[in-house]
Amino acid sequence: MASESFLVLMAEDSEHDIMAVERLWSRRQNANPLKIVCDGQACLDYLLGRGEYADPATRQMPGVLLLDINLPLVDGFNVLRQIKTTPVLQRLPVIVFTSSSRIEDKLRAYDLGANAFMTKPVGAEKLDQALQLIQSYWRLMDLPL
Amino acid sequence: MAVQHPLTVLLAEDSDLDIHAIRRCWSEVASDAILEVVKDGRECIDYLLGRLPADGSSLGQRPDLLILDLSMPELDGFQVLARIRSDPDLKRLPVVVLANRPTPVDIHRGYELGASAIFAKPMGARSLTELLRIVSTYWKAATLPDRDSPVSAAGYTAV
Repeated sequence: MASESFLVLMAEDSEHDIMAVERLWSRRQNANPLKIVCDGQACLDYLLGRGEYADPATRQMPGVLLLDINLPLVDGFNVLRQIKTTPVLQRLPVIVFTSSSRIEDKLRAYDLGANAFMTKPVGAEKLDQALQLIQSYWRLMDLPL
Repeated sequence: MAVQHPLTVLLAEDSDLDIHAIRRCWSEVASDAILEVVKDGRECIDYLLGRLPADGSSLGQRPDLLILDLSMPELDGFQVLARIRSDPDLKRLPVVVLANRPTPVDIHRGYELGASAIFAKPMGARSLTELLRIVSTYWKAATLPDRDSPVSAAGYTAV
């Protein structure tokens, strides 16, 4: 069964993008719950229930992760590598969602096991379309929750 | 901008009924995309390794996306997926697994083996059409391993 109300976890450090996503998200009627973390360490802490996320009441496992590459503390590639090599996390669908369109980044992301690589579009309307597309797609898929 | 060619999808599916249904719905939602069909797991691997043209005439083209049925003769979907992910030339290929009624164990195993996504075959042409519409739009918008840029930047707008 596809699960429709899964949490979307987003690892994103650009304040501009975070504000844009939050604004778009708040306008949508049937948006999935969204949690944003601002660096790679916080992303791993959230997923593993460590640090400020040690209390299980403060976190819900996400259905999918939208992962930027250029993140402070631990970059997106290292986050991806750790997820895909950690038994309790490896099944989590990870969409690398980045402003990078470098071929090396794309190949590296797929090599490390990214479930998809999507270039983050510029402009609110296109960003909204991309986020809606990602949400619609994953709502139809069976998630390993 | 690189020269664009249409999204090329390989469907590995042994049921003629399902092939027919998917072909019909696919032509409605993604008439600009190429859909090739192989009918068992062995044929799928042979096709991907360039040993077997799908229609017997032209040489098989490397697909952008594999839609892989879980239960197939010869090699099943999991075996095909494991083979793809361990082959240096094929390992990046996006693979969407479709299953009749996947159990939680199937779903976990599929993602562990590196499925890009897993979905249950929907009942009825309307849900199948809607599903294939979103799947094709999503993979056209993604940056695929063998492409320099998305096939189409057009996003999906929910109705």
